[in-house]
Order: sequence, then structure tokens, then C-alpha cells
Amino acid sequence: MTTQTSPLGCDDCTACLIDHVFGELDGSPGGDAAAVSAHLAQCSACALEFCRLRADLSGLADAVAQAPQPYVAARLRERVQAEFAPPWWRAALASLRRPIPAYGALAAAALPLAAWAVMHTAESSSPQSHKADAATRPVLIEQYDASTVLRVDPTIL
Amino acid sequence: MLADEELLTAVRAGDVRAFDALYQRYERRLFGYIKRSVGDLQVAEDLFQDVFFKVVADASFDPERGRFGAWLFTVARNRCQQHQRQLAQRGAKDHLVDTTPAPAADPEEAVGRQRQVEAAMAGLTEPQRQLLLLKQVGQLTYREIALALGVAEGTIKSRLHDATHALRRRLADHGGTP
Repeated sequence: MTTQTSPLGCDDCTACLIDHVFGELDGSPGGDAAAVSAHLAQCSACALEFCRLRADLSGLADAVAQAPQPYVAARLRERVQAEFAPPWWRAALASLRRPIPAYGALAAAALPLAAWAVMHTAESSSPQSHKADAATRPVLIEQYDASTVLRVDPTIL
Repeated sequence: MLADEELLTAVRAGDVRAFDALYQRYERRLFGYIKRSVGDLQVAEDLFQDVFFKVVADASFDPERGRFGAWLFTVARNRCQQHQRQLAQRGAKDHLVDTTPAPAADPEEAVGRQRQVEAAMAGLTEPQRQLLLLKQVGQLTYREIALALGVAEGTIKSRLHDATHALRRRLADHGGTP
């Protein structure tokens, strides 16, 4: 071991190494983890031991970790979907309730159009409007009577 | 990045993409842990699906009282133990995984880091293996392991130190780091 250049000695550091690799030391500033890190930064022997220990333990995790076959994920996903997915009508309602800014703009644009459509429909369906139409309708040539004075637009002459 | 507990809440609200994210976080570690615990691939796949679905669907899990990951591996451990008890009751112990040390006949066969670890793990006792798996693969804290096993936290720490030393001795025997 090297000479002690930090408050923590090599023996103390070695005793803490496993806990340090496991992430179980007090990680607060000035805590045990900081003291071990400070020692490792200055002691090559302890730093080497730390790296070997960490490699051994991470090698264990790597050796054990294994992905299941893709069909396992697909089956599980189907199960979860069947259990938790909302019915189609609730999903549609949720998508409508979603706070998208475009909905507001769309509603603002559609409102005058809808108002015009309602008013236009009301006007065209009332009996008075039919009479007014008849009054303003141009005289057909068959109904022309010589007594009728033709008005000619001077701009077209 | 969303916490596991937030993803779980989203899954329960019907968000399948949240399930995908949660699944990706745990599939390799959880399946590896179960496969290592029960040995048989088909059984491991069934248990993996049951455990994951149970934990996601079980409303008794309270995020305020613990981490999702710790809960997941605790349920997995219990389920694996239950399976092995059932096998033992059926007198099918011969179907259990052979966990006795299996040193390679020829040291030259033991190539690759994974095989060294496999051989070293095979030389540990079952409790030592379980502790190391819960700590390194499950990433449980000493406290979470203590709660899962019903043992004092100091005892878990001491046993994990012993298991780590034992693993490293066997790794050195099988050509790992000295």
C-alpha cells in the first residue's frame, strides 16, 4: 500500500470498498463515500483493488442478465393491454379532451362559420323570405308587358 | 426520465407505451434473475410473465412505501422459491438446477468472462448466490434485501461481504482477477 495522503487509511478504505462498490456508503458531501473517493484518488493500490472488485461484481450482473424471447414481451404486452387499455369510446373522449392548442383555434374559426350557416338556414326556410324572393325575382320575357318600363343600366352602353 | 413508479401509474391508466418503457428497464435483469434461480428456460419464461404482470396489476403495491424495482425482485424471489417448493413436493428434485460446482475438465475450456463467472457462481452456496443476485442484478439496497428476507440489515451486510469474498476467491481459481 502507498503512504497515506488522505484522512482515510488504506486498511479503513479496504474495509469500506465492498460497501462503496455496492453504493451503500453515505453519499452526502463529507460522508464516507467522499472519504473513500478521496483516498482512491491518491492511492493507486486501493484504486486498483477497487477497479478489480467493481469489475468482478459487474461481471456477475452482466453474466446473469439475459433477455427473454421476443414473443414473451409480445404476450405480456397483450395481457397488460387487455387488462388496462380503456374502451375505444373512452380513448376517443380522452383524445378530444386532450389540451391541444389547435383545438381552440379550430373552434374559433368554426364558430362564425357555424353561426352563418344557422342564420342562412333560418332565413331560407321562413315563408316571408319566399315572398321576398318572388318580389325581387326578375320578370320573365313571356310575362313581359309593353307597359313595363325597361330600366337599362347606363354603364353597359 | 420518468421514475418507475410514475410509469407504473401510467400503465395502470392504460398507457401501453409506459409499459414498454418499464419493460425495457427490467426485462434483462429480471429474466436473468429468474432464469438463474429456476434453471429451466420454459419455466423461467412463464414465471417472468406471471411476476411482471402480477406486480403491474397488483394494486397492493404502494409507491410511497418502497421502490418498484425492489418490489419486483422481492415478488420474483418469492415466486421462484414457491416454484422450487412445488417441485420438491412433487419429488422432482432431480429436475432442479444443478448448482453444484462444475469445474471444467480442461481449464482451457473455461474461456470467456461469462464462463468464469458461471463457474464461480456455481461454487457458492444458494444463500450466497441469492444475496449477490438480489444486490447486483436486482440492485436492491441492504435495507431492501433485509426487508425481503426478514433478516437484520447488519446481517445482510455481513453475509454479502462474505459472499463477495467467496465469489472473488472462486473467480481467481477460475482464472479471473487475482
